[in-house]
Order: sequence, then structure tokens, then C-alpha cells
Amino acid sequence: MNCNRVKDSLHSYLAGEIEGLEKLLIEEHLKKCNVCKEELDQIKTMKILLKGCRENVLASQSFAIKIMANIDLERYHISQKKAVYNLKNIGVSLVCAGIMLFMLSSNLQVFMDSPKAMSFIDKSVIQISGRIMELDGITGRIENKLYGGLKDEL
Amino acid sequence: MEKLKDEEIIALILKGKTQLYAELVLRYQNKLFSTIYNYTHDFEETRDLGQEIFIKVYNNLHKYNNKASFSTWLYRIAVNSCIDWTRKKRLTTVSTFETDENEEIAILEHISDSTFSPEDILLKEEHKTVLKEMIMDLPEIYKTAVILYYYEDFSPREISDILNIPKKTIDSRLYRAKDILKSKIINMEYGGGAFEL
Repeated sequence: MNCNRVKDSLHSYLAGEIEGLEKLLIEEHLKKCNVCKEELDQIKTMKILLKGCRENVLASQSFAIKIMANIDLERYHISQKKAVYNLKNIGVSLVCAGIMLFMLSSNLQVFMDSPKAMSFIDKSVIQISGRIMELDGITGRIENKLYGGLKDEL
Repeated sequence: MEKLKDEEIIALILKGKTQLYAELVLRYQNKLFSTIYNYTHDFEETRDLGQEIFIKVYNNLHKYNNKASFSTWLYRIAVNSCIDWTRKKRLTTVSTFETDENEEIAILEHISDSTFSPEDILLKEEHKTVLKEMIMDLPEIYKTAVILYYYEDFSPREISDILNIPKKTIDSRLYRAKDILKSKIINMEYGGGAFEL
């Protein structure tokens, strides 16, 4: 790490903002370089000198009260007008949802009433009953075999 | 009851509990007053600017977006107000302080006499005045960085957040400001050299 880079980082280093490898490199450099070490000492001294010049000023006890008296406390309140507007919006949304539901249900009714729907339902019923009969035939054959077998044994 | 975080208080204020703003004012008023005073060195200006800043912060609370901490955001508004104040003030006055040459020499003698270990550095009131004048006379960009770093103990990263300027720039400004202050102190000495910073 070169001197310019170290010098530029010394305020951050002193503030504890530099960590990891960069911190190690700076510390290694400071061990070897007297010029940079002197720079660091100057910052430390300056910090103490200037800190001594800092004035601590307290706000008056009534300061917060004065601020509260001078701000608009209604600024972040939801006004009545806004609340009514919000309610209006909810009403509109509900009406829209109702209309959509009505349209969906009437579409379903129209579908049910159409001849296409009837033939579709008829076909499905025929297919299901055919399948039931098939299954019935299979169970009948199994029963016959079973009883027959039993008769032989008896 | 557990103390609410600044951000939680702000969320409640924005939901209508505006009386809670008093809590934020109480939390930061003294720290902010000190910063403003160290900028202005005028009690009345400090009070007026403090009031102006806290009202401005309240009126803009809805713009606070949690990206930075509330104190950083508050300081951003405060420092900008202080910079504006300085610019306006510079149009009317040249320097805030009145010091005579003898005082400047005295501070150097005092500092030069000391061994300069941190414990030994105790400044007299009049010496402080000379140093404060030096800081006040710094170009604006250095003055702000110096006040925030040396007076208020903000780190370069925090100063960069407050001023919305890259950290590298803050590091450079602080380095340059230290050199300016150092040379000012040395130039104040008769021929220079006795004051070892």
C-alpha cells in the first residue's frame, strides 16, 4: 500500500471504519512509514484540539412544545373527506365484484341451456354407464369362478 | 414500555399519531443545537435555525424512505440549512470572530510549550476562539467536513451519507482540511516550526 492511499484512509481508519485486509495493510504500512505515522498522530492531536473547541448547547425545555405548537398536527391525519372518498371506493369495488359474479353465473346458465351442453352431458352419462356395466361383467365372472371353485371343493 | 425506534415513531406519525413527533424532537434537539451553534456561533440563530429545521423535517416526514437512518436524514436537512445560512451570512459579514494578533501568538506559545501528548492539551478560552475562527474561515466544503468529523464524531462514511457525496471525497476533504488548519497554525508562528502538529 502506498503513502497516498494510506494518508487518504487515515480519517476512516481512526473512526474504525476500515476492517479486514485493508486494515492490516494500513497497520503494516504505519509500522514502517514514519511520515504516515506522523500524519495519523496529527489527526489524533487535531481531534483533541478541536474537540476542546466544541460548544455544547442545550435547547430550552420549552423548545419541543414550541415546535409542536408550530406544526400542523392534522398534516398526517386521514381527513373525513378522504375517509368518505375511501368508503366510496370500497362501494364501487363491491358493485363491480357483484356485476362480475352475475355475469359469470349467467354465462354458466346459458351454457347449461345450450344443445351442445346437453349432448356433452348425454355422452358423458352413456360413457359412465357403459363402464359400470363392464365392471359388473368382470365382478360377475369372478363370482362364478369363485362359486364354481367352491362347489368343486364341496 | 420498550423505547420505540425512530423509524417506528415515524411510521406511527404518518398514520396520524402526530403528537409523537415531540419524542423525536426531544431525542435530537440538544445534539442538533450544538451542531448548529458550532456552525453559527450565535444563540439566536441557533434557536431560529433549530426551529426551522425541525418544522422542515416534520413537513417532509412522508419523504423519509428508511434508506438511511433517521439521524442521518435529519442531519442532511440540518447541514443543508446551516450551509444556506452561512452563504447568506457571508454576503453580509466577512468574519464572525474578532481576535487580535496577540491572542493568535498566545495560543501558539501555549501549544508549543506543551509536550503535546493528548492529556496535556488543555486550551484556554481565548485560544479556543482562535481555533474556532480558523475553522469558520475554512472554505465551506472543508468546514462542514471538519465540524461533522472533529466536533460531532461522525465517521467519513456517515458524513458521506449526510452530504450525499462519495466517501473518497470526504476522506480527501478531511485530509486537505487538516493540512490547511496545520499550515494556518504554523503560519501564525513568527517564522513557523515551533508548533508541532
